[in-house]
Amino acid sequence: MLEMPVPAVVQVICDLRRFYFNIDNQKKMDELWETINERLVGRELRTGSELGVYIDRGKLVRLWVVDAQGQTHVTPDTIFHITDIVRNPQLVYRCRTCNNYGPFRCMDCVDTRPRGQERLCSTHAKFVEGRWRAYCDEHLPPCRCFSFCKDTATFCCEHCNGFYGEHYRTSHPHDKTIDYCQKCYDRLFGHCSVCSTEGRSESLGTLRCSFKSWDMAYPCGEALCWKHALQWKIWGPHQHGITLCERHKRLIRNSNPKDVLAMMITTRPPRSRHGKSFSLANLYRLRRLLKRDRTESLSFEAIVETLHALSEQSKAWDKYAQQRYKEIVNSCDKTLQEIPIRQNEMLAKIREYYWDEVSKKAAQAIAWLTIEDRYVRPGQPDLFFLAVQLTTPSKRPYIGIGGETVKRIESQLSARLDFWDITVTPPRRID
Amino acid sequence: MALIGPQRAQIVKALIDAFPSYADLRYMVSMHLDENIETIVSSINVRDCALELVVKMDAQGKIKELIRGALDGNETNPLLVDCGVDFGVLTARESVTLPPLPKDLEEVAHPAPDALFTSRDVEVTALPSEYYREECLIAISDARRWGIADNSLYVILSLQTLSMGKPVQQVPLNLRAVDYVRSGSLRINQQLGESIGLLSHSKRFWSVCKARDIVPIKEIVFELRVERARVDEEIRELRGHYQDIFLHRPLLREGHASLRDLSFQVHGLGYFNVHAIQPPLDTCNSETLLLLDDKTTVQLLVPHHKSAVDMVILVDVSGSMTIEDYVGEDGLPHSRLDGMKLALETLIDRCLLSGGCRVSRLAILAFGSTTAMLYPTRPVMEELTSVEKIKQIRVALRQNLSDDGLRVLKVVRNPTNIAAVLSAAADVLNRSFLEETEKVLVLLSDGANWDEKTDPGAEGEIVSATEDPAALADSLHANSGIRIHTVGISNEEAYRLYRKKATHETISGLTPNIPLLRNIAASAEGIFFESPDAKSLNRLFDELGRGAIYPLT
Amino acid sequence: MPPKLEKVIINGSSRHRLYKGFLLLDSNGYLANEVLSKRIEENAQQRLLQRLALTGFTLERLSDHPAVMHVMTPFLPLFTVKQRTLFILRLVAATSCLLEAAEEASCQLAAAGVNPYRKEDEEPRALCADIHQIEVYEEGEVERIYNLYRQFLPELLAISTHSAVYGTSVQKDFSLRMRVNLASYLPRYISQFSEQHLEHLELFIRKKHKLSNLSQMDINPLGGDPSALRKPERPLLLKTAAAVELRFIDAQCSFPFIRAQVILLQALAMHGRELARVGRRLFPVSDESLDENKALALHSGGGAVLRPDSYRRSDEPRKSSTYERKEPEVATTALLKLIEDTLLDALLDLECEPWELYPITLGAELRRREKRCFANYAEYQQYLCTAYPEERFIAILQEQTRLLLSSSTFDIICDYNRQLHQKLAQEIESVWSEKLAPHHSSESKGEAPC
Repeated sequence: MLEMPVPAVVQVICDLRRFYFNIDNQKKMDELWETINERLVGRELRTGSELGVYIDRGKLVRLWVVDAQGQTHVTPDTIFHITDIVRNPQLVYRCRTCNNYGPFRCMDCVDTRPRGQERLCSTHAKFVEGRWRAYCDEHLPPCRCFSFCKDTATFCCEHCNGFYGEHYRTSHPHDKTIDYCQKCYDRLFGHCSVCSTEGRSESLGTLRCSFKSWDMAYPCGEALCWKHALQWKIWGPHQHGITLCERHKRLIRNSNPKDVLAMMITTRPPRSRHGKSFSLANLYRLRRLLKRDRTESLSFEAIVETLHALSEQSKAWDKYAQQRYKEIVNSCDKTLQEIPIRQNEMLAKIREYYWDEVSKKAAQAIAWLTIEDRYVRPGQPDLFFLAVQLTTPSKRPYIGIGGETVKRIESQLSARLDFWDITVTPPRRID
Repeated sequence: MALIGPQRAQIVKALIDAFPSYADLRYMVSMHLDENIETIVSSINVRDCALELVVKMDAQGKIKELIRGALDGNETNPLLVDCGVDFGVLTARESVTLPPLPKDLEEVAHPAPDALFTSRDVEVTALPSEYYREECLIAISDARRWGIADNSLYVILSLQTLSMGKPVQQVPLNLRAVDYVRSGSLRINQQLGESIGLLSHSKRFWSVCKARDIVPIKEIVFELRVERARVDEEIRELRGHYQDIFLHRPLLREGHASLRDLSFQVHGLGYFNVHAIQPPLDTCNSETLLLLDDKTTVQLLVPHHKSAVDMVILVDVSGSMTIEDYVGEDGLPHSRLDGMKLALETLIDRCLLSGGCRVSRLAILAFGSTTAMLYPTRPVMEELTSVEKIKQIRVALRQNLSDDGLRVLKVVRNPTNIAAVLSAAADVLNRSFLEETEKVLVLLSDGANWDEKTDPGAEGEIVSATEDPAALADSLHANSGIRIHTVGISNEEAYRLYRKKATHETISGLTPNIPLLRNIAASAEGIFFESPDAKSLNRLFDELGRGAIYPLT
Repeated sequence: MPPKLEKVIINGSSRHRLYKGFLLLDSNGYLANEVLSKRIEENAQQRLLQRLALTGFTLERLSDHPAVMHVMTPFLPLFTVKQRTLFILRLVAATSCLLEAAEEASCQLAAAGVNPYRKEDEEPRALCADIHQIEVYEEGEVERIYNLYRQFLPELLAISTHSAVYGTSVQKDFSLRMRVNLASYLPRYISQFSEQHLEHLELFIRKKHKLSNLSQMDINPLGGDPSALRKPERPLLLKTAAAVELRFIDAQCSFPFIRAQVILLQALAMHGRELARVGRRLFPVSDESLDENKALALHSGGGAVLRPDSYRRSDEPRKSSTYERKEPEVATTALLKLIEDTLLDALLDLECEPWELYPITLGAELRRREKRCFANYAEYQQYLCTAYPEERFIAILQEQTRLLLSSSTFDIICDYNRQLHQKLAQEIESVWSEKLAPHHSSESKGEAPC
């Protein structure tokens, strides 16, 4: 009986990690095979075993048997299939220090050194804790602490992401794997300055005084706890306001309006809720806010002028503050233009009214009126506060019996009228 | 099958390898082929025997049975297994009768009787747009021709799909008739057209019908599907481009779809799920178009799957909490303090459950006019590492929430100072601050005996940050990202009923102040819970770790 | 005459390990409890031990839910058709051990991302995945292979969705499992993988992306035994190995489909290996773009229209990448393009036969030709659920699941697709036979690219 032998195919993985020549095509592999094939004959074959062949000193070719196909030894008839050539990768990117594989790049060297010289290996690449960016020894970032020390940075602050040296490192009070710079640590965990003065240290100084004037490089920044912090409620009593310390609460009334307006615009407003928006783009509202606690109130024109004077300064603000600033300036400009027109309209109406209701003389005694304020009332017409200037010291004809006369015109105009006697200097409000 | 030489040799070799002796072969033939080997072969030499077996079985056309039987006898022998594969014994294809595909899922290209127009009437082109919007334009002349009187209306486009599972896809659209589109064409928002395959020269049939039911959405909470490292930037973008992204866009309720079935595609963010909607879906008909208009309140829930949650529970133990106007699940009146304890139990229990609740650290404070730590004793957050911890908490609460316990802790019970406890709780949270941890306060109170000191009309005053609890809540949220949920223990109605039966005069300081609790929650992006029962409070935990809700309007 | 070297593959595939996921259900379709699950596990484990052919196969509990069980294969070579067939046969045999054990306990198996028969308190907590591990040899490979899988995650995910039905209701998403899985995280681009600096890398990713560890990503670069990467000349073919692990694939019910997936994954890995060995690297796709496409893929499965990357960071050079998507395209078509443009050589090296890929390519090709068909099993689930009333749906799905899990060759969607488009299917098959014919590649001898 004829028996035709079935040639056995042995699958192997060719391992050239200790061979150190690059075999990356069939031709080179064939040449290599020629040098080792005879030495394989008679070697034991077992799935999972290794056939190692040394070529010259230190150069080792290893064949890992994936599937021996039932063969126990290599014979001259054995056919091999190599399923993969495991080898060290071509070193396109070499560490400039040791010539080994350099996957890391120092980005500062990219700009300053010839191409390829920015590469570093795992050993020679340096890292700053908290950042996955490699540096060479030369370009390790310096410590950014305020004392301009010459140390290199060793860690990245968890909060501000700045680089700092060991001397500036403080760990989180409850988690040693989290590091902060001293400044951020003080910011997050620092104590209230008022409590500290009183000898109590349990309250955190979570809030910071936001007061800043033209001669201050930074806002006041005094750390205050919730109990000792004051808030300037520019968006209403039920919303957060601008945080102030006791000292700056007293100073605000005399502060330069430009500084005050800058503070108001740069502080982030509350988010709009229930259809209500907390925008300061209202000239009347700004005036009310600026008028409070001040000895003199600013005119609308002065406020708008002050707003425009902030234009240069606003370029240094963040984009949201700039957006708010533009919105406020546009709105106030528009309002300022409208005021005289509206004043004229109201003046005409008031004169006409008093001409009809009281007398020609009464109407003629109305010299002028100014719009002092305007309140927005949801669901109702806006309420104006008018200062009516009279050339007579008495307002009785204008008020009427039981106030009926003035109430009617107030209702018509949706306004409240105040009467001023301009025959005296300074003009006097008629009570 | 007539084997050729090499095949025969392969099988023989495999048999010899798997059954090295005549006895082994005999055993295999007997056990797995149910034959007596002596009737098949004459030789007892294993090689000859194997060959004879193969030849004889091949002649009978039973080679596959031979290999099958050999494999049953030795399934691990690699040569045998190779034979099994090579000769199709191991890889035989089963013949399975598949259920027939129902006819009604076959391709249909018939327009609905009320279709305004179909794919046969127009050529589709793209309307370039930066945003995904359900918009398309047709020529005015075409609109009139098809009986469309309005220049803008909402329609539903029904498009054949290529999926057997969902043969028709319905897309709501805002259709506008304009004079700058040429007749015979439909210009569709490019992003939308690409995503439904309308712009890829598709020959799929579609038709357009008028939307019958259009319901404006009062409130909607979307859920962000993608993971963003900088959520605050994403929120700013959404707010900044609110009109383009959200306004006047429709959602379609297909069939009896539930909340989970709704989605809202947004360019760059994949799509949003819908977390909550008003009016509720079950009040809407099928094929209703839900419309976001300028009155819709839109919020976005950003899940915080990766974040831990620090929770501080604030327990009101003021004098008003002794009033027995809280009606429990047993229908009997209990003191508000009992109601509050029930809520506390529920919260503590839920902290234990896995599968969604991510409270990793907890603290509990009691308050009246002053504040004291109930658990832990120091003003820091305590990690919930095990069931044992929860037991410790229960023990601590039992001890400390009694009158004696509160006396020992020196809690002055009247009047109620909610602002003080909010600031104390914020301090506890901030003292244990960890980046990216969600910070939550849960206020269990009746809100009573708190005097509004602030004139609601006042503006521009400079006052203490703790003057007004709602303002303080707003500050806590703005400064420290703290969310505050409030749970109302009792309400005005319950107190009114209680008063009817009670003999003493009404004391204003005892009336529950629900509006205050609502305001506090609203100011700090929290939820107000009307009742302290378990069902309501479960929702609180569903919100936790789910993330933060950001208003977009 | 010395032993002959008949065939050389310069950049071949590596071994593969699969954790095949199953849901254990009682006779009413509810998830099995702890007691039942333990009983089935012990019984099945005993059966596995009795089968010598299944040495190395075990049962693993990878999830805290008792009803989720995995059959774990050892690392096995899948370099030839025969090896792959054997792999699948053994997997079927191991599954049958589990099936028999389940039946003895009056239970059944489902292989899907979530339970298609019953809801569990309105919340799908038992999430079942097939987890694939592809062996890697060194760090450079990890970087490329990981980033390559990451780049094509949306395409691979789209085709792998299999949880479109939950509790006999069709879900909005094709993969409900991926939608609700709290432990699923988008894989981030790793520019430089280094085992030596692993802790540092993890800290950074934790800080920037809030991931507590890398293994939580949908593609885990630290699968298997990552310490193997520290030993550059470690012996090969050991029981344990370093691997890149894919965690986003819903549990599949069809073994031919799994086979096709395995081949694709190996081919992609071979391509990555080749890049690593010639020292080339990949340009990153932005996280945002990937995130968006991932969301679209799990939402719409194979029919998802994937979008180009418009989020390139300003500091990245705007060079075009071979794989760059220039315009929106359907996921199945994108997958076909990936195979045709990038993976054909690797498939030839794997001696891939066209029929091995049909469970994926046939449906995708029909879709490319705008034909209605089944692209994957999520669509098939949807179809059954909408075409049949509830009881009938449950009965058919149960019966077909049993058939599928007992067979190494039966693939329903292939059969149906052929039934629906007989002539076209034949044309497609002959095109693919042509593509995968050995003469087609100029590099069949394994010439490395210049």
